Amino acid sequence: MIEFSNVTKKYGGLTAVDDISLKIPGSGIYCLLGRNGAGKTTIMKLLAGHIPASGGKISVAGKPVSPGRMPESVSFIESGSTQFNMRVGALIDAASSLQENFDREFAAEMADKFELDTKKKFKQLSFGMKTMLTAIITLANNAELILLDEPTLGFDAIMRDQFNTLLLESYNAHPRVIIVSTHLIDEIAKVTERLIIINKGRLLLEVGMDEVDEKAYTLSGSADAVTPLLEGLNCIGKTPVGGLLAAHIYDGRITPPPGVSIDRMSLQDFFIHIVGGKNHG
Amino acid sequence: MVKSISAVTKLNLKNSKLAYLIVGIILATQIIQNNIVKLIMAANGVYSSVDDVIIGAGAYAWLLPVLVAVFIPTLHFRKMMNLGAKRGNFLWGALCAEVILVVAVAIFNTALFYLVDIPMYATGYFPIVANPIELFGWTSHGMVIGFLRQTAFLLLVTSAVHTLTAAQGKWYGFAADIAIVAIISVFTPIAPLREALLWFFNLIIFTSAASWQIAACLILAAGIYALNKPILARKII
Repeated sequence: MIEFSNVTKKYGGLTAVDDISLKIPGSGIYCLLGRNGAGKTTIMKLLAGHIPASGGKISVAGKPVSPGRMPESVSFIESGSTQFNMRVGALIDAASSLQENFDREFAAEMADKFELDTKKKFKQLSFGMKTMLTAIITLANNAELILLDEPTLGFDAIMRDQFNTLLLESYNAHPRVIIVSTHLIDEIAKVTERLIIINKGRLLLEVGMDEVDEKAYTLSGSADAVTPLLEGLNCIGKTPVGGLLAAHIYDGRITPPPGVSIDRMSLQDFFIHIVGGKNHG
Repeated sequence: MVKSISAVTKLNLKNSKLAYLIVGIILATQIIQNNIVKLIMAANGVYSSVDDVIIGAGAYAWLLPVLVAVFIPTLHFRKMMNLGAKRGNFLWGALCAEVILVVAVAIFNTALFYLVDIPMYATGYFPIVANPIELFGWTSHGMVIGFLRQTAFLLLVTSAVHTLTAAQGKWYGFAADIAIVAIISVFTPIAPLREALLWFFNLIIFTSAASWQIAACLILAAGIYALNKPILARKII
């Protein structure tokens, strides 16, 4: 479905995406994780054909992608994007007329569910509601690839939960590739199947959530008891507190000796340790 | 595709309120100053000098398609993409919106010239009303030909403005700007080149052969507008 072959994107002297190769074979909800400036939005723009790559090849559904050849099968609207200052209802109608695969009923249902006032003009909406409108317009397109860039920015906790439910509903109704970039890591963990972690423009890890659940854990106990266990294990971070030590592991499970506990690592902690590297631990 | 192009056209026309406002204010002030005030003055026995020359108010409407041709590539492009429009459909929708405005403005100016400017001037109490469609000799073959010549010329101007605006920010945009300035400044002082420049402006404006002028303007407009395809393909969002 999606193929990135040695893709590089440079902005002047800055390398935003650095030689990334990645294959996404089929439908699923994928989470694109990375720190601010890691290159998440650039990857999405490259996939949507909004910007040209400086090097490498990108293809979606077997077709090469570039600004001159924007794929019909991709739906992407950058977060915080500006819209015409029209009523929300009119904007949804306009999107419905502009996009061939637009599901008008789904958009109306989502707008209603999120209490988006369709009579309000775009500039009258709160930041969260503007983000919501962008997410609705993107998700209502039944394209084969949906790219959501920070879709819950400005949402309160209830809205975020509702959004995740709707994301699943949308996916179950139309299974396709949905890539979500977000900083609210633990919340997206409830709906995502695979993680794509990038750091400083490079692909760090592409892994299934089940594998993270299995391999990411924390060993806690006295430093004397925990330290010998780390030999041969991929320790991605350590948190010493007095004489105690919490070691964060991304490796096969072990059976800890008495006095050492093993706990599941949250996705957020996993992300912090695997990306933060030397700065954490 | 037709539905999408039609939607782009409607969005462009609907969201050009700033251009409508600017042109509306200019038109209103000109109509008040040129027509209404002078009519009131004439009714009170105060007549303007017949040697005065004023520009027909309708000619100011020419600004509308020109302003819209600036706003569409600068203000509307990204918003249209944010609603999920495709670049090809954006290009056709922009063209449709500009053609609609050009035709509407040409009708408006022609109507104002024949229904207001000429009758007022004919009374002999008002100053000369100069309208480009008469100054350029476009009405010498009648109202319909005058309208067609005006439409063709406005299409050429609009397509040139749209294309130049769309290309700004890229090297080829700056190159085009420099080329235009260079042609005018280099061609003007050199007699043979000046002749070539005169020949060109004669062909697109002043020639008495209406069909040549219309054909030249439409062919040039189509050629210039076609340049938007590669320009748009390189435009980043």
